[in-house]
Amino acid sequence: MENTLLGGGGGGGGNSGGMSIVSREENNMAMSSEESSSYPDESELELGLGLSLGGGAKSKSKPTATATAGPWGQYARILTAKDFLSVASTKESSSSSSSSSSVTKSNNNPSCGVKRTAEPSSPPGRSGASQVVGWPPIRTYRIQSLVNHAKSPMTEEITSAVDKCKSMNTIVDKSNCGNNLNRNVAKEKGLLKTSLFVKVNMDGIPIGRKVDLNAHSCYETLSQTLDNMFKLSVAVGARRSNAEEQVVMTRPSRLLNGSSEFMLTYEDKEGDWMLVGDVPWEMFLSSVKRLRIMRTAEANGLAPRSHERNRRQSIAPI
Amino acid sequence: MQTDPNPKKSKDSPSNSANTESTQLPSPFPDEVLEKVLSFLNSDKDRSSVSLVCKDWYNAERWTRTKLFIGNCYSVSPEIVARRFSKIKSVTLKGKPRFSDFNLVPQNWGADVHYWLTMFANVYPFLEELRLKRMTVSDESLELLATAFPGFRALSLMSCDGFSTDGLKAIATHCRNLTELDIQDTDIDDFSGGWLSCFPENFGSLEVLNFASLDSEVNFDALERLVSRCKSLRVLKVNKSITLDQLQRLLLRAPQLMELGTGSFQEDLLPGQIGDLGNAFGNCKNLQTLSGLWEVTSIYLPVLYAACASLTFLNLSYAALRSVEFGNLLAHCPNLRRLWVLDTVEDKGLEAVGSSCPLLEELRVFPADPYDQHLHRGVTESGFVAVSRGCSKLHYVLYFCWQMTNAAVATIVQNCPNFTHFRLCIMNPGRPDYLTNEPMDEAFGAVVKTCTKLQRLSVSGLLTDLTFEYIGKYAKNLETLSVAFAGSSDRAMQFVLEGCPKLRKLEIRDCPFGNAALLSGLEKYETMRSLWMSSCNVTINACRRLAREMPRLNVEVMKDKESDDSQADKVYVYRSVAGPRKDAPPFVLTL
Repeated sequence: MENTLLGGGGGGGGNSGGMSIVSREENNMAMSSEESSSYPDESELELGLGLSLGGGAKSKSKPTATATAGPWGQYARILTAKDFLSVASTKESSSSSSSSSSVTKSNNNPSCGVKRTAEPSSPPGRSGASQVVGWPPIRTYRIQSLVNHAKSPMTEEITSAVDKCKSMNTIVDKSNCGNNLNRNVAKEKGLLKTSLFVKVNMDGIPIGRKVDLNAHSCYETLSQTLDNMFKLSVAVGARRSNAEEQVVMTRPSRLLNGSSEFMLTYEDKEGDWMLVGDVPWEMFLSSVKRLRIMRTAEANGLAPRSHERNRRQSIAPI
Repeated sequence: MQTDPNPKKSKDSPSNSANTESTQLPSPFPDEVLEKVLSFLNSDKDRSSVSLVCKDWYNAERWTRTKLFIGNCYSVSPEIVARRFSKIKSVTLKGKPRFSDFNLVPQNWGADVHYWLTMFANVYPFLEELRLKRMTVSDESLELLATAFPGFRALSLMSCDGFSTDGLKAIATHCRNLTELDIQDTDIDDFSGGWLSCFPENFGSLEVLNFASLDSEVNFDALERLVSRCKSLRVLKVNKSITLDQLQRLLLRAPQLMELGTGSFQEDLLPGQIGDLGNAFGNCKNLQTLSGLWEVTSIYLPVLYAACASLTFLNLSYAALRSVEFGNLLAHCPNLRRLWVLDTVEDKGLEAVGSSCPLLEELRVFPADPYDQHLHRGVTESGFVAVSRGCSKLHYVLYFCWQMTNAAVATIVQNCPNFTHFRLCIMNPGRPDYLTNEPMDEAFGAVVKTCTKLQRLSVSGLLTDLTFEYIGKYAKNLETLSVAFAGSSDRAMQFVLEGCPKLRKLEIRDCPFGNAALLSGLEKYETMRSLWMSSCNVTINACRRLAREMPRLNVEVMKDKESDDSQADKVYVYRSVAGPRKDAPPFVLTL
């Protein structure tokens, strides 16, 4: 249960919204006649729900003008007056708008909900329960609390594939309860370090998590924890296969060794985004502000080593 | 009631007779008297009405207003506010559109309080209270707040972002007269719990302390001492890091508490400790609100029983209880007016609500597993019906479920015709009545026809234009309407815009409403606070036209990266006397 929440519903956070600058001239532009409000024929249900940037959603954007620097360059466009002129004069195409947050625009497609759940194949990297951004309408804070709730014994009874998930959960519980128990013990002994919670966001997942860095003493355990937090959610789509889960659980963390589709990065106190793992653990603790699990493809422009500190990244935090 | 030969004249207070002669005589009230009278007015709506009577009243009102409520921080500017009011001591500001709660609004959208604070520092240095909702607040702002307002007493931050525990340190350190520090549903950078230790050792004025949504552990000794010193503490909501043993000690220090938010219950206590905890709860004779209760299990629920007799608000929305233990708990809470639960209690648990809580006025049922479309556990229409049978005073409901029927809703509103807030969320978008397979139109039709006092409505399920025809026709007191994945055509939105005279907030997502719908509400939008439309079928050109025709509206558009150039993916329209906002980020198109 704990892992169904973090699905692929992308686009909601800082990712949405193209860059655009509109000048005053636009207002004087002759308006084309109001286009009809017919909208796309939903012959194929867009499963672009779970995607955020550059996933699989068909992009109809016409790259124009200059792109902003950094790995987001291909997505951010600065629209100028010319763009709007050209748009206004062309006929409206009805096959537009593959907005990632739209689920159904068709007239009363009652099978929509059913259709989505029946959809058997979901590309890797997305939750099988294809998620719409911001739906159901529950506050982020509450969702995060529910996710953390999953550590409770309650979880084991909720999921129907009880046994399979039980094994999954107890493994998770061990790694987390260990922290709790240690904490209680340490408290009594007065040895407790204060906790250091930092936010963790993963590309493609609108809901962030928090992790207590002081509960770890090395990169490996941190990475393993993050693996559990996020990888399991990714595996939800293909869950029900116990074997696969076991594989996920026992695989050593890939976040650090570069073999994964994702890389673990952090923002330091100076605002730079760095790869996790380069500096000694204590130094990392003292400079980290937040974490981000970034798609490897997009992390290429990232300053991988500390000697590139001069170059400030324009990566927008999620 | 006296009989009066001249009924017209005596219908109202003396002011009526004054009015009939007002064309000849000046106002019979000297300014001082008028101001004194108006100073008793607290309601914002009353004050608005008063200010419209005549120039004298407008001035008297503006010179006596001390509480400022701004429902949309962009509807007015700090300068305008500063010019009109001079004696403001309390400010409530709301920022982002509500759908930002659900990640539909990108970060850095705006609603930064800093500009307001710098104005307040100049014009209202005697400011005492600040309540913010969905605003961005930086540490710098908190430091300014802490240092520029010597009399500052109450800070409430709900669903805000942008600050860290460093900012809280400043508040704790500098606000000598702080009575209220209330942080709710905020997601901030939590560097450490050390902020709590920044309250000076001689500081003891707190009445409200809520840090439940923070993660870091605070220094318990400092907290215990603080609680001991604050004799007027009536609200204490701690975070998960506080253990049961610590909770027990806090309760012993503050038996006068009226509202308590516990820490986590995930702990192994010895029987003796459990007994102590139960006694500590029993000591709290004034407890009206109980919340927190993370990971509470059936073993620990009995410790709460002794404190439940006076409870009027029980928030179990972070406790995954099952029906039996929940029912046992409820048996001890006969005076409940408000109840928030997780749907793990299932229909059986809601039956217990119906039978144990006759005074219930508000019920919120949250889903424990909102994304699990396969299992569909939780509550169904039966639970809701069961509550409505036993709780005739119910008027506020927020209900998350996977299935509903028209018949059930009709029964529910028949049992409880006094709904003011009806928020039903069938979690599968576009789900019809699961028994008849028909749209849920008749359900909401029943709601609006029967519940004449309805102020707030959230609809869901498979809905055609008929639902909205009903809403427009019958929902005469409706102020807030939330619509998602519903409607068949533009007519739906038009029905609402044409029909609901008191509509203030309309928020729509993923509906087949296009330009005709948007443009049918031109003047209407000026009577409303705001309109939100996302993932509908509106184009930027239409928005431009709206902006042109209605200069007193701000029309803002945000585009999704993948969409067609002409589509206005997210539209936010709101009335404003301040003109287009100057702090719009690049991704917000102001038309």
